Amino acid sequence: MRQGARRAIGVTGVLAALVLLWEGYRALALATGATWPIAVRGTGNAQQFPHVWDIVLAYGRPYRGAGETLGAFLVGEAGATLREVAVGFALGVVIGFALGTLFAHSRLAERALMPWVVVSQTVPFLAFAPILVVATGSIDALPDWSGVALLSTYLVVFPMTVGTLRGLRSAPASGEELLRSYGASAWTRLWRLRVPAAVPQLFAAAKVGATAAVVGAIVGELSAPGAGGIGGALFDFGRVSNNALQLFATALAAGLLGIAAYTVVALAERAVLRRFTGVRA
Amino acid sequence: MSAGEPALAASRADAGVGGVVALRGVSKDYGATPALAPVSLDVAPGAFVSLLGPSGCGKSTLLRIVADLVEPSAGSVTVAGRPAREARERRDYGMVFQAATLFDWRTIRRNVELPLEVMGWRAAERRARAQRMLELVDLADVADLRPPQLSGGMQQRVAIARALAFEPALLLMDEPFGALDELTRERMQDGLLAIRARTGTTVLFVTHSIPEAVFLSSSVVVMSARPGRVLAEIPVDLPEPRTEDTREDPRFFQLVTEVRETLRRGVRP
Amino acid sequence: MTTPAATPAAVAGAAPAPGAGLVRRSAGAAAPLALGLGVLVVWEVAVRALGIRPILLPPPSAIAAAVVQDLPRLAGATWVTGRSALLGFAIGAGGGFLAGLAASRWRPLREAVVPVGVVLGSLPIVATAPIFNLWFGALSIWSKVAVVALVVFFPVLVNTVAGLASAPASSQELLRSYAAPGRTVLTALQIPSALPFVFGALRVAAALSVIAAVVAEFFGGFRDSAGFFIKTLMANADYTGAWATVVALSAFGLALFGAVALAERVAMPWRRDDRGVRT
Ligand SMILES: Nc1ncnc2c1ncn2[C@@H]1O[C@H](COP(=O)(O)OP(=O)(O)OP(=O)(O)O)[C@@H](O)[C@H]1O
Ligand SMILES: [Mg+2]
Repeated sequence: MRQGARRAIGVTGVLAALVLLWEGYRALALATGATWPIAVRGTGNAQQFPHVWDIVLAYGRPYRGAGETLGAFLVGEAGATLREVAVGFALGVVIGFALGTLFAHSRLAERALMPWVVVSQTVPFLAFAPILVVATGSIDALPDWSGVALLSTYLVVFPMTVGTLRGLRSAPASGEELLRSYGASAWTRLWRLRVPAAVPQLFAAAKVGATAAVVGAIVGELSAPGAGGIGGALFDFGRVSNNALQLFATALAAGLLGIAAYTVVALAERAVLRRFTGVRA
Repeated sequence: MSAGEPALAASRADAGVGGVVALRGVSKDYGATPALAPVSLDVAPGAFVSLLGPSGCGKSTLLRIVADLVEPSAGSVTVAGRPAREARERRDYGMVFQAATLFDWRTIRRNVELPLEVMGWRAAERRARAQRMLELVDLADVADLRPPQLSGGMQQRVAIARALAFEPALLLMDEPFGALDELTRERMQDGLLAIRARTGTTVLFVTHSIPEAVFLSSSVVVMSARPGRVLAEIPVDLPEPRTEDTREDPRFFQLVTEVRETLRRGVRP
Repeated sequence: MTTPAATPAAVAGAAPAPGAGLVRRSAGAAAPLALGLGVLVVWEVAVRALGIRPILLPPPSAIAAAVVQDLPRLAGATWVTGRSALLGFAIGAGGGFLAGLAASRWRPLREAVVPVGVVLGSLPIVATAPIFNLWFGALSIWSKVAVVALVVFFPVLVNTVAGLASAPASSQELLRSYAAPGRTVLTALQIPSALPFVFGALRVAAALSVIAAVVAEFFGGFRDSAGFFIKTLMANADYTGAWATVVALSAFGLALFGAVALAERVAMPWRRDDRGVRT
């Protein structure tokens, strides 16, 4: 408990420090009239360096003169993004779990495929975003946003595969031998022993995957003209309307979306752990 | 002459006053659980004192208190006539831990050199000393390997060489031979006695082996089950120097029996 | 991404024993190479046989031809993007390491930095790209470098802090028994213990840096950058050209990853030692 309290204080402190850092940076830019450390003259003005509180207040203001507030608009866009994230994440979890299970049972599959899975992580796959979005867009049977979801899927597959493989391997050999001595089938051994043993690692991977899925969706959206979502809003505010306050508020919303995705998985983890082991995460 | 030696010589001289280690009513609680009951103990200069007691009775804890790695909950500790803290800062003792605790990123040789490096010895002197210590523990041929390449027993011998490297006036050893086979163990025991005969080092030694304690020690301290207290301090009046014949001496067997029976008393309250 | 355990190379498994040498290594490479080749053949045949349109999937032969044909331009575009990635990588990694060293000195900060760093690092940091465009200008390398540096910063920071604290208590006690000064504990124990963590983070960061650079370019960047190429080629229906650009960029990502892996082997010779010369 004491450690929890100390950590809470520490986290609050760091967040306060981040706000202070931002305000300090802002003050520096305004005082010198330039950005820092790369001085671009004439950009260090109040419009481009809003106060933290002004950014927060912007959510309550109407956006583009219409009646709708920026907050309401962003909630709508976030809903669109979340749909892509949810579908992409679910697909990625299934594929990653299947691959990890395959690797855990077949040395050959692991030896042949794992290097590619690893190489896939060094490939700047997000560079495919525009290609993928256009390609899926050309298939009429698929909804417009499916390319964006697929991008999320890709980012989820790797951590899930690795987490599944590690988790399944973490089951104690003695338990495996015990079940074998009962003549239990491979299927039973998987679901009765290995998967339960893998739960902590599966959730750890899913948490990484959830935030990665948000990144994938946002990058997908900004490469798909007119795709909307938080990524589309970012692109529009950053480029088309060039409204700094709305841009900052949207970037902050993107961050909150990432935290939300993480939190959902963390809550699911807690529920599962409590249900099956009585352990509190 | 190396940088470390004058100070050590001085501390050896000081040690003559009032015992090398003096514990007065030292106890330790971890939270609400007592790990060590109040213990008083004196270790005379040049003595070899073994601590024997059931697992978990606080032997390691006691050694760590002497080493100023753990604060006692009560009581006072002096080492070489000073508070334990000062003694540690003056590097008055060398310690062999229950686990070898070697650094994987250093070769065996450089692991042995580690304390000398910390104490600011010159490179050539460090190297020469490390070489001698490695020869002493029969590991000169693996000097350029790294710890993961050695067996557990070999690693433990490296740890011993490292503790001996700066020839401390006091050696604190926590089950140093626990991981060794019987023959190597006896060889290491002989080696330790030879070093002691040469340097006059005082030793505080933890072991689970009754024959080992009797063979090595000038006195054996028997402790009770947790929380450990001193049941008896049994002087070992075997002739010096201890040799192979000592292990066959009828008096040796008598003492082993005496220690064993004292130990039994502590387990059966 | 908090521990090196979650990094790609850690997953690749232990390196083969030096003694077993080339034979084992080439045998180990046979299966993945065969699979890769098989996939390429199936891909090529399927695209031709089923008449898949290039908008969906161009055949590998066409992509290869485009790479060869356009090599100078592709290499140029890759370098424009790659140098942002390299510069951002260097700044972000250096900054993350130094910040980690600093944060480790004070316990409450050390305990707070890890959770906050993990959360910030997992957020969609690329969303800051338009902000940096606003500040530094879309046509400045620094707006890209800033995004890359920020993306790289957090994993390196978090792993540096975790790595410095990873030294076992027994090793810390050993140095305490020598009354070693804090500086010695840092250089003799904490930094060597942290290296596997830091390199784990650097491998992740190498891949992230190229991704961040190209995504930042999607928000607007140099007309000769890979990110700009990919978007305009797609808009002009030159799908094969877009694929070729991604291939060139991947080669750069792989090279950067390889360079980090190599540096890791040089910096941590004890990690590739053969085990088991037991006697
Ligand atoms: N850091 C700690 N926190 C809480 N309890 C501890 C700690 N260190 C030791 N203990 C407890 O104190 C008691 C004594 O431990 P110690 O390690 O001194 O035993 P020991 O006599 O050396 O045992 P062994 O012979 O097995 O090495 C044990 O019951 C142990 O559980
Ligand atoms: Mg012990």
